[in-house]
Amino acid sequence: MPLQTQVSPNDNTVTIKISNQFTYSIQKEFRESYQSHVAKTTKFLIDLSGADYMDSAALGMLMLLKKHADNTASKVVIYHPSQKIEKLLLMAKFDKFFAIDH
Amino acid sequence: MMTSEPMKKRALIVDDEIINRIVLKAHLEKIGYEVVEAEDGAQAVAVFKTEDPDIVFMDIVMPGMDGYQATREIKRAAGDHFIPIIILTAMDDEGTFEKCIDVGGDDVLSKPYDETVLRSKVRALSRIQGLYGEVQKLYNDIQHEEQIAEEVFNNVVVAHNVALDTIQTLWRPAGRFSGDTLLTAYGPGGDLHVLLGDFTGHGLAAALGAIPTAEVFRAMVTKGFSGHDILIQINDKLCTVLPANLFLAACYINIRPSLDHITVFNCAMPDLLIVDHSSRRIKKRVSSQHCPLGLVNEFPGYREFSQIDIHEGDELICFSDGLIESRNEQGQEFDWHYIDRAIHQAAVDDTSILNSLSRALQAFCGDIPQHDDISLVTIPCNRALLLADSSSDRSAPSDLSEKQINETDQADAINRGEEKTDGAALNLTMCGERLKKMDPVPLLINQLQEIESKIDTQEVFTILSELYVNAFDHGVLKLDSALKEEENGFERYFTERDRRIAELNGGRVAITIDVNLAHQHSGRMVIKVEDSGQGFAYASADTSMDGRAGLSGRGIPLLDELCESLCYEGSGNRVVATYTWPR
Repeated sequence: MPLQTQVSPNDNTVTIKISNQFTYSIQKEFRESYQSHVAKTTKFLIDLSGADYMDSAALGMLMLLKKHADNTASKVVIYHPSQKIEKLLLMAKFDKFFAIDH
Repeated sequence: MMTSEPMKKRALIVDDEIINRIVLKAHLEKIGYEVVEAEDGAQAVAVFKTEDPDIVFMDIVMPGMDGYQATREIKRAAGDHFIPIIILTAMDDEGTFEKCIDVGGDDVLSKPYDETVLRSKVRALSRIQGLYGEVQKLYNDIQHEEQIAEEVFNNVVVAHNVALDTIQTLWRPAGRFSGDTLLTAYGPGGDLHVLLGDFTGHGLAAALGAIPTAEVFRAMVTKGFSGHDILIQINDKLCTVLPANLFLAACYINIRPSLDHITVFNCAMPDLLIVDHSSRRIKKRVSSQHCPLGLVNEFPGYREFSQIDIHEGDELICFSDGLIESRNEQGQEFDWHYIDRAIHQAAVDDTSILNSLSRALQAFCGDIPQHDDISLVTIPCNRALLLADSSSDRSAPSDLSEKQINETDQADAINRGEEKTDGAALNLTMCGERLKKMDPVPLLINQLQEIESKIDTQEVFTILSELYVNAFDHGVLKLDSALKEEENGFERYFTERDRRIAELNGGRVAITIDVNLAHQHSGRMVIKVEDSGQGFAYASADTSMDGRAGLSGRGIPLLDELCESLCYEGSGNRVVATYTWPR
């Protein structure tokens, strides 16, 4: 499975764990993983600790998630990106829109 | 178009035994097929070509060409069309079965066969044939649409680019459409604007965004807007028209015709490299300064743009991330290490940087298919890059005597007209925040074009820009243009300029343009620019011809040449320029 979703109701967190490649090929699964969560102030944790590659389409997917999160006053945290992925995030200045947790 | 009655399907039976053909024909006619026959392989191929059957039944052992060979040839003749071939055989070993499929057969029917099995196989293959046809139709539709899209794309985005004889590009789209876009255009002052962009993803969806981008870019560059204004507009436009997951990483470059200074803004592209003309080493990198365009509405102030001093012959290298993410067989990436080395190697091999990078990439990736668009642009900052008639060339003295005669003629002609009976006047005064932020030149050019379409936009742009910079930079901000002459002078000049603008309190620049169109063959405009500064000692400077060199920062020699007359008034804080043109 390239993508696994875990919901913990206690702290209202939805963890989306992406393995290997974060690219357009998983866009459908990625979208479905957050779309049903419309509770206010959810925390979406994008766990990239198992991902080694991300393309620009994935940046677009993250922006769609952010839009969804903004509508529900929720928050998106990018968790443990690899050095390479973080470089891409910084090049696009995504640190302005997302919290990055190392 | 659809016919009311579906065409009868046609089957080709290939068998040397007449009795076998008769039995099979009876079965097939029962389920609605029209049947054509062949007695051996060679005849089968010929009948296939003339009769165009929908399905083929093939015996293996026949005199002359056997069923295997005939199957191969029929499949070849069918090309892109899926015409199922069922091979009939009395041998039921695995080897025969495998060979039937290997030569291109789609199914095998063992003799003697059962009628129900035959019918089922025909139905199954017919179903696959239907699907195949649907896929093919969809594919053809897409091809057709892409062809149209490509034409529109080329007309809007690619066809108007300039300086492509000098700018070198390596362009390798991952598909028919590239999400990477290169736009180039000259501003009215002869400066070159370049935008290399990379839309999210690739293919047609990514290329779609290039159309509004190119339209905004071209319209605004032509009107003389600054890179900052252009990127603000592109950003706004893309925020409006693109979905949230589609945006544009872009590197914007403006090269002055004087070839001593560039303005750069990098939005989420890999570092722009500046390679020194003599050492041929990378002397500066401009890293990403902002998020991609089309993502958020806010855009930084023009101070965020990099002002960089260059030398004639320096080379600018810009590429999309597809280049540094290209992979080799081992899955490694063509990272910065390889790029730096290839640039260094260009000097060693005495070849162009583009050649060297292209070779290195080829050697690295081999035949591995690329997964993203790759684009690489190298811009040598030399004379060939400029418009043939750009302002830097104009400082060379033209045939003055002829020019003066012409001017006198025109002036006399206009003077004889005396009373202005056709014309318009513009008046623009700026103070406060507008003075700090606004560039009045494109605005005025636009209006002048509305008033008179025959003016030489490039000349008027140059005159207005020079006069305005004199008034604002030197008059209001009291900047000394001698600063530009020092090493890295432009960077320091613009840093100082930014600082003074931020601290500016008060100040004013007033521009009036009086356009006289009363005369049939020549037009005249009188441009007055007045600033709130202290002026300068124009009288003493004017009396000594050598003194003009010292005033080069005010662009006076250039203005002198373009204008019929140029005179300073007051304390030097007011200038009146008269410009005439043939109608």
